[in-house]
Amino acid sequence: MALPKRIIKETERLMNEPVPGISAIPHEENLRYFDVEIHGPSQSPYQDGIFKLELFLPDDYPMTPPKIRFLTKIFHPNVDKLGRICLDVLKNNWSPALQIRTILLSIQALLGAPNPDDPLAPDVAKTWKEDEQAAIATATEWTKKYATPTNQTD
Amino acid sequence: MAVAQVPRNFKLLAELEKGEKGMGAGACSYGLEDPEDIFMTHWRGTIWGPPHGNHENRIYELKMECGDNYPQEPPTIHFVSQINLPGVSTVDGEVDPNAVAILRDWTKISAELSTNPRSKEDLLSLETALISIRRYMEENKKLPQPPEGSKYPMYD
Repeated sequence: MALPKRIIKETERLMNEPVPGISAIPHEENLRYFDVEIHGPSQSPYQDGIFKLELFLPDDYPMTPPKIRFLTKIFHPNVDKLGRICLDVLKNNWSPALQIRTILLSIQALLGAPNPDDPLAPDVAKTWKEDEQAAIATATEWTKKYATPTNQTD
Repeated sequence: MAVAQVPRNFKLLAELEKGEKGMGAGACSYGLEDPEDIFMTHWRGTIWGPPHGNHENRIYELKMECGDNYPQEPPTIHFVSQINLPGVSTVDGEVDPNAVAILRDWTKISAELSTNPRSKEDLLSLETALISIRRYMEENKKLPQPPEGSKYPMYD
């Protein structure tokens, strides 16, 4: 299956000049489908965690944004129980000028700056607004429990 | 032009969203059994009994399992509600794929789609499976049925 030049170029650059703390590796049998790992930003409850995600470039990419979700369980107001992410650049603010690389950086930034005013997980957002310390404690605990490499079952 | 092959998880996410929005045909509905099932393996479905027969005004509950090779391979489907229908196990409600057109032809259709994809149509999905089962029920609407609301023992 012929892959658009744009996707080939983006993939090459991701492999040759990887972004620190982020990796994206295409599946051999489907080059539009990537295994992603994002390191939690320092000074955040996700620090030291390695979060797995999956990313898919649909047919009309880059006219439509990539599809992406967390596979690692995470306590974050903008990520729901199935790992779906609420982020403007993945929806209305997507532009073909953005890339896989910029999207992954935006997700890493979202980990450093949760936005409980635009929640996807209402219960998490509620905790975040009413008792931020408790929310941060839970997020830290989940990072240790689910996103620490030695604890991952696979 | 070649069409991108949608990975299992992203196909199931799209199916889930369609089911949640109720964009389906109306006679069937479906959703995840456990809303935290990250690999979206276990599903529940309902079929509103087709009219003008012994299924009329009944709601049938089903469970569906999507394996690692979905949608190349069909989901495994069980009736939870008891039903008298050839090809449905009287013991545990399992639907014999050979009894239902789309389940029987699933792998063949899937292979055809992989060489000659039609991107906009979703021929193979949990919804089309439920619709196909409902159509099969309609063909057998005259069969006597167990009491309404009864379930197979393991689900009771």
